[in-house]
Amino acid sequence: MKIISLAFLALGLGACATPKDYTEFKKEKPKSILVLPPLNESTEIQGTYSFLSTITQPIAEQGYYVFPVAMVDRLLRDNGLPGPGEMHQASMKKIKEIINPDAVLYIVVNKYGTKFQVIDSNTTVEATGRLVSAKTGKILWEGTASANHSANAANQGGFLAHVLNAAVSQAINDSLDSSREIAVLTSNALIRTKNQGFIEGPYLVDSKLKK
Amino acid sequence: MEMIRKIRNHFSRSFLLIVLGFLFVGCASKPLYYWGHYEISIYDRLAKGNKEGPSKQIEWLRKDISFAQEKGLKLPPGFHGHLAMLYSETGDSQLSAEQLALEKKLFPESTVFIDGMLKRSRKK
Repeated sequence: MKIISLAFLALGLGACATPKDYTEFKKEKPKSILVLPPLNESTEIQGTYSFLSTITQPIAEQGYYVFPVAMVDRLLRDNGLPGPGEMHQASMKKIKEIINPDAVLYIVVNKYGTKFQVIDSNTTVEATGRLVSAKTGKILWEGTASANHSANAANQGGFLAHVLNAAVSQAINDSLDSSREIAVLTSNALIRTKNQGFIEGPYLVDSKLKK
Repeated sequence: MEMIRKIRNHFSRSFLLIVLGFLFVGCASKPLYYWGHYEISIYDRLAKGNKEGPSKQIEWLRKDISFAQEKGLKLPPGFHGHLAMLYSETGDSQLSAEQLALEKKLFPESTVFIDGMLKRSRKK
């Protein structure tokens, strides 16, 4: 029996040595964030919604209110915006009128999916985000993150590989589901990496004060 | 020598994992919310063509509510709004309205959005 082992897990945090400029983000202190369905520049058709299904958790755990993403998608479609392209073009005035977020997160999925080679496969998910103030239209934050997972057919990793496998790729039976596992890592890296992601939002700050 | 190399390899990889863990979570703080099936429901619905359908997804989320109540955990922002949408799709407009009200009560940031949804659903 061939055991798929995790050869390595690499996180590309981009050129992230220097902390970001958080001046506008801190000045504005948004509480509620609207995440629009991402634009998809990858070759995987499901990149948009698969990635969208991973982004609420890191933003909410970072302390923000996140509008229900699937509901927003349906609302915008019902209002004549058939896809992410049109949704990203929607006027801030209209968005404020019907949803009223403090800020809007525009995401582009740059890479999404698995490349199969002779003996191994490589799954990469990369995304870029831009957080825009609904009040002023200013860009509050921008960032890029990617996560990568290589698997091969030989069990060479031993114990650690099993631990990684259990933690990272529970659903490796389906390459699409395993891509989503990598998307979860990308989302978390994008939003929660210290000095690169979002500053701590109100619900996280409150929970720390209560301790 | 081989043995030492292996051990050292394991150590450095474990170290990398721990560092990665810290990078993700900031520090090992307790999550704010119990996530249950909320994002899985979004994934099924939007990325997998609603394979399980709204009734099944409602079942998942109701189980999540019971579990969270039992353990005294909070459900995340969007959870009740999402469930409201699922109820509206199965024709349970009363239950849908209840869930919308709950989303608004727990997270007042959603007021404009939820009031709009309630208004539009009454018009239908």
